[in-house]
Amino acid sequence: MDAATFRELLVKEFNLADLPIDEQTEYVDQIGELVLQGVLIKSLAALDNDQASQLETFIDSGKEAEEVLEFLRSAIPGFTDLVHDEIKAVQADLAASMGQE
Amino acid sequence: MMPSSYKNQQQPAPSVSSNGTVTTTVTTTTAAAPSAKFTQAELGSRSLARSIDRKMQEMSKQQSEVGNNVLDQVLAREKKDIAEDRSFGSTSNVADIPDQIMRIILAHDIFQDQIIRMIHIPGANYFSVSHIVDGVKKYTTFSTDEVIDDPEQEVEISELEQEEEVTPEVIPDEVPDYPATSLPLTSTTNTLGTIGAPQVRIIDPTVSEIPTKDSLQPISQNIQPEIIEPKIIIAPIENPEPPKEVISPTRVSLDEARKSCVKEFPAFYSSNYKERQTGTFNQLFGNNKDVHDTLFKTMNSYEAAKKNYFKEFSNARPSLRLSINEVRTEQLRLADVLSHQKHGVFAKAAHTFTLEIPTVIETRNRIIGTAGKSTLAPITERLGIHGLTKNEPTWKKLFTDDSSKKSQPIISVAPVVALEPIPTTINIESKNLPSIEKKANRKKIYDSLHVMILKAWNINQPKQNKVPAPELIVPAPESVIEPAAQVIQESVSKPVTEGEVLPLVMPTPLSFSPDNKQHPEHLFN
Repeated sequence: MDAATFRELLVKEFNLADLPIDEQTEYVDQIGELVLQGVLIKSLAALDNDQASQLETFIDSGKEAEEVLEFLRSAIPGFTDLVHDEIKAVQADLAASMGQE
Repeated sequence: MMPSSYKNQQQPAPSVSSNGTVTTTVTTTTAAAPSAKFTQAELGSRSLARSIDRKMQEMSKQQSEVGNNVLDQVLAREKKDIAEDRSFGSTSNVADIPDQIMRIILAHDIFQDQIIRMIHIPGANYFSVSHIVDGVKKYTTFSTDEVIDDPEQEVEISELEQEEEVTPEVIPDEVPDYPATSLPLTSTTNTLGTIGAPQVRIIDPTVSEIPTKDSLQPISQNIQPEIIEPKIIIAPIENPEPPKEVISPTRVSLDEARKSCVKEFPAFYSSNYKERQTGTFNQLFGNNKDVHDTLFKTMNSYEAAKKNYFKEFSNARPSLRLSINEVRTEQLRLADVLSHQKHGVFAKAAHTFTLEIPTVIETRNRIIGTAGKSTLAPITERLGIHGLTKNEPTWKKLFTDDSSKKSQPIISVAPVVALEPIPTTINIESKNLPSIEKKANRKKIYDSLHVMILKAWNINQPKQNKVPAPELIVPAPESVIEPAAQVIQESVSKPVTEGEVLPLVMPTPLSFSPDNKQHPEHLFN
């Protein structure tokens, strides 16, 4: 799934199509941040202590977000699956909290 | 009858010696004590005066006794008041120490028999006591405001309050009407803080005569309203507790489920997405949900509790924005629980990804500064070059892998197509072709090339354009350079069949200058 597909999915799922583009973008960005946050939490849970300390050193050395993601991708082979599962989980949580289930 | 005094004043008779001569006899008389000559009337009046004096002394004595009682009553009252107005002075007499001060002293385990002197400057908030401790004189300072719990006094006050409530009219009648002149007598202090003893000596009170508290109790009770009045009994201020947040049972169960799944959480995600030697969970068991549920019960209960909580939350018909906030809050609660084990990596990673996380998590993990978004517009917007830069949100970086795959050009192996060149006859005209030297003089070729390149690129050349020496340049013989295609055609004499590898053909350098000469300058035109 790419960013455009993700956006289309959210617009369809939460009926955002009627909203102005700016508002759509704002909502999509917020949900995207939710997904990113969830991915980070669960990725860090998947790492063992050594990897976690390595990642900490990696971040402390001033690495950028892309490099941190690369680190996670290399440390967690199922990272792409994790991202997809997190998208579904966030989608389910939002749907449940809005009474759409 | 002669008075005796008169008899004593008679002259002695002259004495005559025995020999017949008259001798002078000197009679010495002792001087009698001078005594007033009073008549009977006078003596009677003196007797009357003495009796009057005696009577007056008795009366004054009686009067002084009455005065002492009054003084004692006043002192008893003042002893209570004096501690509050702080006008009392220093004293060596324990009995003169005000009750309140005495209570403070006794509360600090200093007994009456140990007290040497109480020192206090009228009006001061502190007083000192010199007392004997293990045979050594010691000074100790206390505050006059020190609150000493005195249950007896409280009882007394409460009783008096009751009395006051029951018989409020009796109290003013029983209060003795002290003469205004008696009040200065009660002042036992002066401005120096020493005991004003003289006034006390006039009345001649003794320590034993100072009434005890018990004996004065009825009087003090009568006076009590005046004492109680300035006292403000401060009732304990009960701060109204803030209304407790009503936590729904689903929220409670979610909190409990979250706490209980902390240990399983890493194992769950590690086995699901992280490759182990035996393979991931999905590789081992596929998507068998039963196995999954058996292994991670607390995870499932957490998911169920979360679902229930969000369902209950949806009853309030929240907007999408509120729902997003609620889901984010739940994620952060989970991160808060998990962040202990990961040494603050989450906070740092969130900072890297510019995600907003609560300060609690940051401070717990020693991260200083909030990873919040700046409220200021980006520098590009402020400079008015917003359109020139593309600032994408960080979450899109999650999808860069997929998008990069799409954006990459499709690499495919093109099939080899056999080309059969059409044989054509080409007339090749050649004249004055240079003869091929058997052995090339590489040094000469290199030198000439070097010089040509230097000239062509104007490197290390003098500013004035000088015509190079004609001896160095050997004019190339005129030759007709044929097109490359023709050369290829000429070299490939036989047709290429399928399966054969095409020979590598290096194109010969061409010059498209109008005069068919190789001048590098034309490349820059």
